[in-house]
Amino acid sequence: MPVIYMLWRFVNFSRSLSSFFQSWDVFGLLFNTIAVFIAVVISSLIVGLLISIVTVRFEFPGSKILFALCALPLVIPSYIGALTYISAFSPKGLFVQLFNSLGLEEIAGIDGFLGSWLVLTLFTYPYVQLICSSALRNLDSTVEDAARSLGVSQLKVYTNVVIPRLKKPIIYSGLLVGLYVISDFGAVSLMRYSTVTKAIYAYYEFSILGDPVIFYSSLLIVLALIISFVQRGSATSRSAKVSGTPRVTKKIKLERSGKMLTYSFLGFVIFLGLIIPISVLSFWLLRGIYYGNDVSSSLPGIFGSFSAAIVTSIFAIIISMPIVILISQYKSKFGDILEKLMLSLYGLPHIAVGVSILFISVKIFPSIYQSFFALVVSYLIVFLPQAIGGGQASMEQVKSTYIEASLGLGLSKVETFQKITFPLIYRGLFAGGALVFLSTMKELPQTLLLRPTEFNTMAVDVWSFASEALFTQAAFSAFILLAISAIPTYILSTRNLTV
Amino acid sequence: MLTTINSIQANKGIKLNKKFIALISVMLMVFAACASEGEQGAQGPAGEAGPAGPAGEVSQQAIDAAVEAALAEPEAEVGGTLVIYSGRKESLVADVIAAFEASSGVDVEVRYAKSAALAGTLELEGAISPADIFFSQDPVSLGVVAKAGLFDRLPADLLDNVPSWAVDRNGFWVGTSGRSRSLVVDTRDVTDAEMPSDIYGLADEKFRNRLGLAPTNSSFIAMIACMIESDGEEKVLEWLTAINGLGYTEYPKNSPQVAAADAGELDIGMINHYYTLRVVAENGDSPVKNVYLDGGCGAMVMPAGAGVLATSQNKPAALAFIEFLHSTSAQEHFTNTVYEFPLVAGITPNALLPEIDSLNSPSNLNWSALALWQEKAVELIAQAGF
Repeated sequence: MPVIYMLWRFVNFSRSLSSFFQSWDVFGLLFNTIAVFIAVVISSLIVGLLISIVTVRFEFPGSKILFALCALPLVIPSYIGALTYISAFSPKGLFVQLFNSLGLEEIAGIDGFLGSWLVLTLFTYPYVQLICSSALRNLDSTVEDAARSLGVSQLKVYTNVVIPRLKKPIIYSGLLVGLYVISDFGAVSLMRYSTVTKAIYAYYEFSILGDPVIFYSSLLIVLALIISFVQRGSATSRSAKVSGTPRVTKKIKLERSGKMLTYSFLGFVIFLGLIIPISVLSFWLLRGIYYGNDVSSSLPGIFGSFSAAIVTSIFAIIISMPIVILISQYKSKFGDILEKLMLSLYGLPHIAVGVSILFISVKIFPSIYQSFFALVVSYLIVFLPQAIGGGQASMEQVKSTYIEASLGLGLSKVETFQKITFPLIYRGLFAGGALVFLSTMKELPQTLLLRPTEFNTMAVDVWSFASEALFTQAAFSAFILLAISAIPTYILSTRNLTV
Repeated sequence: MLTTINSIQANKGIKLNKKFIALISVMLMVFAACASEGEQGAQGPAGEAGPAGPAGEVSQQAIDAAVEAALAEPEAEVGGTLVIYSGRKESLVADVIAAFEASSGVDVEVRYAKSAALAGTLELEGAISPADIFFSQDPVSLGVVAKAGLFDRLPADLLDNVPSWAVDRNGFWVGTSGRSRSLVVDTRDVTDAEMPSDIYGLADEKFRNRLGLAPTNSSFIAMIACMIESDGEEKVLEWLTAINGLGYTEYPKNSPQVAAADAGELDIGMINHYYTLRVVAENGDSPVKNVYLDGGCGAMVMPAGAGVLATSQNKPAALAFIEFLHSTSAQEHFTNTVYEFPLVAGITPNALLPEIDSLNSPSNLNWSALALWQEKAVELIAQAGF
């Protein structure tokens, strides 16, 4: 519905398109968006896959804790990450102050494309890591063992056998990252990198009624739909299933040099993705406490984030369950259409959905305008696919033979659902729900556009302080936001729930 | 083996099912609560929400309101809820609003955003707007709302509180404090001698990679609108393109420019005067200072102001709020805490402020005329590649 509405508005455009292209910098923005999209997807896939392979297939002391630490940047919203990098590595930021005594006076500073690329990679690769590692763990090793017994080298086993067989989770997680990048506006605007999302927000701030808001929102939706479409085309070749009980590969013990390499790689990633942001934030937080900042003003934001995230994730679980079953269990035309529909929901950039829900609520349903309900609906539109994804991944476990056996043993369809399907998928569903919870907590552009008057979230607090360069004030809400979201993420990554 | 697994997991499944049913019922209750809240919130007719009708209709409503007010007690108690759309930052006005709440007993809800964004939102909302007051940081955003016919005319005694340059010519809104465009400079890197006399002088090779600006800031757009009004589109686009070509640092707002200049990262930023004064007031040793240009739109002095929406459900409280903004305590807050120019006669400006009469602002600016240029200003900024 938001899509249809935007396209309808687009068609009813009040000025000619050619004049629009002349007077607004369309191609520059589009180019910037696509450039950062490609760069981040590639780098996130490399980092995430390397972490997955290293931690799942090799044995070394502390691999579990390192895996969890590597996954933790997931809880850091890109705008908080960008905030820490901007404040630390601006030309005369904290980094320069720290090494001032050594004669360092000014550095080039991290911003623009480079800054956006770095920050977005650091805070999205965990999606690849979580999804691919759980797929890797469940990968039947028969084919790999066969390849090894045929004398294929260790490296080639990965490039020719393992990674091609992980095609589905790789594309799935790469897409997740890509759409995150496309809909992100917090990091790119703090990094002063002009993308389409940044333009939408800028024009919203000029005047929501203007054509650019509609134009760029539609453009972004079309862009995202194209990406989803490409993804669907390449996902048709499902990974070949080998019959029988899946066999798990034995973990390979690492030698000394291998260990050194692994530790330095993981250590470097954790340093960039976790230690720098946390220590910079701690610095601002302590400075804020030292100067006696009032923290009680953050309480409404904490309450707002919590209520929004809880309500949205519960709704997401309830709504996604029947959809997951329809899609995976019963290969019907309707299920197919539903799956395609849900996949394209992925593509909907938050800010564009926010804009269209805003228009729809004002023009068609004024009774929900600026209501909590409208906000939750808009969250659900973009986050429902995460709940479905979680459920769907676990649904792959429910082999049709189980169902047939159960039905063959005389159980009814309802009983089969209760005894077989549900016990196997509820973990996946709740994992999906937890993801929705996390995402809702971190969500910024939709919240900015749609929040009820006097309703605040931590994300909004962090954003408004950070955009005024009031880092000490931003740090408190940012810290609480991290403290709360770290717990479900930790559960997610350690309990292997995305299976 | 399969049957064993089944029997083990069967119990679990049933237990979870119960939990699940409980969850569903909780969610249904929440849903119902949301829905009923929504119904109560309905204030206007569904469907197209155009502007609030021709000016005649608006003034009819204003007359009704005035009659109502006249019928009430002369010292009428105000109360109820007041919804303020504030384009002024929370950190600058929250104390004043809290003081109004305490003294009047009115329950105030504030929606903070950029002035231009709120003006656009008000236009979009039209008749269904929940807002009673639009409190804007710049006169152009107020002009946009006035032009859309969404304001009620204000009573003359309220308009007479402030000088005529800070009042809408049609009486739709009134100024509450004054601010000047200025340049913040880092005195370690910038000398007075190299500063130009007007804003066009900044498009000079010697300022390559030394300038900062906030292209989405409402006051910056107001300045561009002023430049279009006085110098014509072509010259403004030429200037914007030249500035872009020189290389500039983009900021989301004014205050980070002052912070950057203070940190030594920025030489010259285009801002409103009071951001610098706040930094100087906090730290007397700060190397930043304001440069006020000698004339033209770069030296523009403009009011922040407020108007009452025609669709307001609580006009007595709305008028009381604007009256409160003109009170001695609010005016002193604006000049001593925010470092703005007080507009009500008899209030002493803060010592850090320059004489308002010494600033060479373009005289006789017509704020409604500038509002007509707002959209064009945004377009030129985008066209120049910002």
